[in-house]
Amino acid sequence: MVETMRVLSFFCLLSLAACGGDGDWSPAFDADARGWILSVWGPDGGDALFAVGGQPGAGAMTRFDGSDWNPVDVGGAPLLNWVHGLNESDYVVVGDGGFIARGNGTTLTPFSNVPTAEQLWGAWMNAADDIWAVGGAGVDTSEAVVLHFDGRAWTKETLPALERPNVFAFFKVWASGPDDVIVVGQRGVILRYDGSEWREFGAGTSDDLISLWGTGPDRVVAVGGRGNGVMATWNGTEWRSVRLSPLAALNGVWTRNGRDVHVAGIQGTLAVVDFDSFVFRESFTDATLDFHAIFGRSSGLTAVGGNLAAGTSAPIFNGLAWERSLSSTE
Amino acid sequence: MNLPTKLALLFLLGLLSACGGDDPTLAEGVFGPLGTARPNATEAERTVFARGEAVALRRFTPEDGLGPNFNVTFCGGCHEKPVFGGSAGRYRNFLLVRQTLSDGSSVDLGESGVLPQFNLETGRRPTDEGATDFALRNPIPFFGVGLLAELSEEVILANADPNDDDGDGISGRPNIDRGFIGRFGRKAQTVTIEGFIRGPLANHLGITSNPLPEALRAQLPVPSPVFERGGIGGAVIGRRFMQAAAPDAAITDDDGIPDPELSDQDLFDLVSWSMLLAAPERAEPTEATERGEALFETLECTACHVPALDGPRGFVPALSDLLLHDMGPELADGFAFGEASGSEFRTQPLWGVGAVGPYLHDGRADTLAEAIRWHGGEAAASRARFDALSDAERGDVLAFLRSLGGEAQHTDGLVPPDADLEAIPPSRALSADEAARYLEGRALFDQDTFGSEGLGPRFNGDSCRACHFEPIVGGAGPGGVDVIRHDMVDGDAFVAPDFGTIAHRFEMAPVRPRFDARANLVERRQTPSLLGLGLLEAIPEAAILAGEDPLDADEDGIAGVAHRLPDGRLGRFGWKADVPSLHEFVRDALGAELGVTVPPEDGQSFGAASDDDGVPDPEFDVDQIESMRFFLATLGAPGGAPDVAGETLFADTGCADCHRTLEGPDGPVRAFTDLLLHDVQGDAFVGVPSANAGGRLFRTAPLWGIAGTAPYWHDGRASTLEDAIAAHEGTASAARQAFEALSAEARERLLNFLSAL
Repeated sequence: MVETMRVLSFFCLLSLAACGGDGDWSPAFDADARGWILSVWGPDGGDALFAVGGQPGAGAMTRFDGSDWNPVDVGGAPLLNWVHGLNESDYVVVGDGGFIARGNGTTLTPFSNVPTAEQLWGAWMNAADDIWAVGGAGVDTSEAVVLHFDGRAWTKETLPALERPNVFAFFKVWASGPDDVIVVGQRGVILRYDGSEWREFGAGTSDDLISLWGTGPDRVVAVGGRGNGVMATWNGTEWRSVRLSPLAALNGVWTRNGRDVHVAGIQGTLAVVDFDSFVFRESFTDATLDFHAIFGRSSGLTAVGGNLAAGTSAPIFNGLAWERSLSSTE
Repeated sequence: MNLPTKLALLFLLGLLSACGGDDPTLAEGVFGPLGTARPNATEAERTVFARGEAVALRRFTPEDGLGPNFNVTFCGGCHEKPVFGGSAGRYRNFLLVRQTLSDGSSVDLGESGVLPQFNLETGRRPTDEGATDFALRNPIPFFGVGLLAELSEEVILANADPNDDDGDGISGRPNIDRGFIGRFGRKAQTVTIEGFIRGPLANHLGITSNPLPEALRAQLPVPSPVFERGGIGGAVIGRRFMQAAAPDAAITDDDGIPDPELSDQDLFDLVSWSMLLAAPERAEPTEATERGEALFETLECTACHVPALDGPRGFVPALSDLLLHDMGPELADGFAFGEASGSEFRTQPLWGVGAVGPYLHDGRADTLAEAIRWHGGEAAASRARFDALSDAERGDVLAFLRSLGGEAQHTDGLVPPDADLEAIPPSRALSADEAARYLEGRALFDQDTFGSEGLGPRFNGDSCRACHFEPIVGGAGPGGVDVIRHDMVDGDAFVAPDFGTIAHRFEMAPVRPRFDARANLVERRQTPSLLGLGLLEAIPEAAILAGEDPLDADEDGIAGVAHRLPDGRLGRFGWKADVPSLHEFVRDALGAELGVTVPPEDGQSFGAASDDDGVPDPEFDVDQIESMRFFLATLGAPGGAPDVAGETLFADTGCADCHRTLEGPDGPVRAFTDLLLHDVQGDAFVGVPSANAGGRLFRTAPLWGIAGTAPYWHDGRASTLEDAIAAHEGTASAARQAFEALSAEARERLLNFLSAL
């Protein structure tokens, strides 16, 4: 951890009002009855946005066509945890029970022979024949898995023995290309694939790293924490991390310029964090549920989530979807 | 702390002092005897309080979801002193465990960072491979926590001075979790009482729970405070604590019992009980306490132990700012929690401190004076000023601290301070001298033994009562105080570890005690009841030996053998009948369970003569041993009205062939044991041997008082009497089958007979 940031964080703690906030977030649509919304993604330059989620045992997908958010038939898919793609007619979704499907804009086609039944939390499409998926249930009876699709079949990656103990889940995967794939997960684990082998990194945190994004091989940011927000950054040479409290735990991250890092987290947390200084400004909304993901493109930012804190036995699964515009400098 | 706040609090201190605690600005209707509901609780709240206390005292079984790993079987086990809701002696300490990695980060091991002692399947939960760091924790009292939950964050932050801008050497900063200020736990790492309960339920009992539904949470006696958006200093939208901070593991485990294992209603009741516990009521001031209070301020103890915080009901005199302070290397444990570093701790509230020792986060301090002298870091100057006081002045400070609530309820163990002879009834009328001896023995049996008195270096209990308290002091013990034995077995050969078969649970230091890594046999041993042992000791040897039939010469399928010890004495106490007398029993337990050394005595061979804890040996003398022996020998036996029909069934099924009544000098001893060893285990069982008792042999367990001593069998495998009967194998197979062949009505009759013993 970067000790000096604790001082900065504390300064912010005492004078948070001075840190300001954006304040132009607003509900994207009435997501209350849509189940959890765990991920949102869409190709830049188009209107389409895809949001996935649902509830345990019953996945759901919603598509934004530029004006309305409409449900998409997902067949009998389980809870869907993540979506990422190349364009609006070629994307991949992953979910519980080792579920992976390819979407073409209207339908989902599940893959067969996926070599895991673990919950899959993250996916990344480098190309139609270079797709990654990661997961694991996070308990000692489960296995943290990294899967790869080479255009023909999904295979489970062979990973090095980890120094970090008790890693039973990888949560997200991001890549700048086929030779630069980064996976983050439980207890602060970080893995990087350079095209030939996987290598473990540490960022000085043992908090769960839940999501990551980047703008290139030397500009990657991961966020996480279960109580307090944590951010870890990669500058091409080393990882470092900082706890961002009083910012609460973070689940989602996205950045376009590599400087302004947009994050989303529990209890309606939305903020922008400076990549280099870690100084953040929080946006205050009346959202109180947990954001799980945030995604941006030129037309704006979208953050999604739900009543995730209620646990999987909750009788009602509420969704959450907020949006705001994005300035050209952000 | 910052100056304006300091001045305000000093003013308040004077105000409180001048008004003798009756100042109207104090919160009202919330102070009372420890363990009671706060006086202003409504009737409905008192009903919930009673239900919640019942949950706190419920002994969880594996069938309820206990485990797979656990330290304790009920909440009250660690929050028992001086009454339920409080803390406990060192025998309820627990270990935190982590692994520090090459990048400097530390990963929680164990169960969300807690290292449980027991595992239902393997007996002992092993220490995680790679563990590098350990820290000790002593249970923390709950009295008045509802008032701490009500405090606003602004009130807590008002005392923060993270950079010591006022230059007084005292900083203070909040811990933070989920954007809110932490206020519970040794490092203020937890925001809500709900989270502070759900975490330990999972970590210490293996009991899973879900976060309370909003509808129930809204009905809690202390509703989650509404904070401005952003929690700390934000200014837009009101919001409540949205999550009950607890480890993820609190929601599920893999013991095969459906999750959640605690219902929402039970959790609600438990949280409500905690919230409704009365805050410690300050005693009427005396001249000494007033002098001590003034000195407490002069020493600048009040810089952290602020006299009171302004709550919604009035001032809350917990004597804590609830902030983190650097306590220096003297107290540092190296464990960071949230914003708290390895040397930072929350200022411990001092209300009720006179009733709830030992002191400090790891219970290292026997006394308040010792606790003060461990203060370092920001508190070093205050400690030095305390040391510079005269003896009388220090006495006044300590008197003030003891006056902060609960002193009248203080007990050196668990027996209430005003308990008379009949509180733990003897077996007969005692003369005055005998009564004095009995009470002396009871006190020795009950009271916590301090490190300075010889506890350790390794121990399972810090008193005899620590393990023997079910259903009363002197009785049996629940699963959380089991003795763990281990051994190396190779075919028929057993090799005990060099230091004996007991793998102790505790050391005085923050480490897990030695365990022979070669051991391939681990066995939990339940704590047997000691009630009525005097009657068993008085049974003539001939009466015991008359029942022997080692080769089953009478061909009744039952082979019983007396345990002749290597020195020729007849063993009769313990699961293996491996202790010949109560005097030896006391000597043995002091050494093996408490780490207390005893002097050599003619004809006595049990007990440890020396250890390496730095306390001169012997640590107990013969007179103390004899007082404890007298207490045990005189301790009343359980008894109940005989159920003739049930007893007939008991005999007809063959149960009474081993569980028999022996003749004592004053008549039959209805303990229902022949004091012989039998093999009643299944074919696959392999146990740890003792002296001449093989691993499969166990003494017929006495059955008197058995209803109050669950779980059953030497390893606690049976949660109910019916389960216990069903577990009988070997020479008891026929009796078990006879029981199983009874009608349901007859089985119930027999079980009722047992329950009434």
